[in-house]
Amino acid sequence: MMLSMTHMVCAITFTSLLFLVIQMLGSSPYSSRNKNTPFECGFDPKDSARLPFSMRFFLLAVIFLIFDIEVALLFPLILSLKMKMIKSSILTSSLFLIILMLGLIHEWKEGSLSWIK
Amino acid sequence: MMMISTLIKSLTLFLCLALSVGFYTLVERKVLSYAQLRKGPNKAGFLGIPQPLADAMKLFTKETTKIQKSMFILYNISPVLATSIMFITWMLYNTPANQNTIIKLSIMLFIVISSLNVYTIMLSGWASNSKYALLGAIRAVAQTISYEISMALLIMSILLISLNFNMEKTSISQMPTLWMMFILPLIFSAWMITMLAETNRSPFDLAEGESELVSGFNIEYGSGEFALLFIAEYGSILFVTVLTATLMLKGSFNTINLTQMVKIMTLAFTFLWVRATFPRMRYDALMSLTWKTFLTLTICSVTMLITHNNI
Repeated sequence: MMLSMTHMVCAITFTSLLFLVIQMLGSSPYSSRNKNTPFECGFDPKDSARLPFSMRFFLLAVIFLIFDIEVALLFPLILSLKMKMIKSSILTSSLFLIILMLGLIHEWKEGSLSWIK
Repeated sequence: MMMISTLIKSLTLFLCLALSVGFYTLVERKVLSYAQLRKGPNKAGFLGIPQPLADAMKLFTKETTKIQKSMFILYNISPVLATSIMFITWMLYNTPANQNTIIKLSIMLFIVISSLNVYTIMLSGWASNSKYALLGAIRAVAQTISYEISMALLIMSILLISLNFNMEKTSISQMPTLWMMFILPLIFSAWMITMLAETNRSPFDLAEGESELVSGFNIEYGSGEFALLFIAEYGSILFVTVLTATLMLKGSFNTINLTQMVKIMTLAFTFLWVRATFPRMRYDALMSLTWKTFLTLTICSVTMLITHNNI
């Protein structure tokens, strides 16, 4: 526990130091408008870069949330199988997986999985 | 005392990792160039071998830019975060030279840490205040989270056979000749494709998409910050190959021997080979691949593998 914490702290410190070195080597006192504009194929950026995005992506994130939670709930199944609680775990997990599958089929039929309608 | 030795081991690991990432990029350039019937880098030093060192030196000494209206702190934090997450993932890898942390539920920890990669992509794309970067980041995030579900279920179908959350024990539980790859061939191919998509590799590198988005979410990054993002990307690819070798090919996580090396290198070469061979996929095909094919496949395989324990 302590050692893995040390490793994590070490990783973050190491990378941060690397970043400091980069900033020290690379920062330049000169800056101009053209140098600091975001890249847009040689044109001046016209509007704000905070673009509206397709609703599909948002929908996908919501579906992901549901499925990810269900996956997280499924994981303890392995331990219960290891502890030989076979009958109950098979029953509950297959019920769970059937619900997951039904949800997937519902999403599919509804058309929220297909990118182009 | 333990602490100091861990410190030294971790630092050695990081340096070796940075080096191996560098040489992996050299291998990539060589493989790609020979796949396209040209020579690739062969001028620097002896046979072009010190090329990655020169590249790193160049990248780290280039000028850093401050993009107009970018979120300065988030813009700078995200490459650091990406590389730190990659280094933390390598905590799970215990070789005799680097036996500092022994984690029982290492596969669980891998799933947890690998899901953090999304945040760095999202931050770096959003904070750099560029349209291309934002579009690339949205695509990359959608792709990574979609493939994460099927990845978790694929890992689960492996674990249902080994009944363990530990990488080393999962590796030991496979028979010497009957690797997980041969028991579950369909799962193995799905796993390789999922890993390519998770790491935003070539047939699935829609986030990058040179023809439309120039470079995707890392477009505004130059110099050392780009180097950090690059190290993070390739380090996670290397980790994925080690993980695949362990879970699927009965590799070992705490000894280094020749067979382990050969397995890892073959898998790492496969990543490059795929890049040299396949054209980029369409985005809707990419999404329907994971949601319609892999998800159904994995749910069915998990259902079947649960019942196999009863027999």
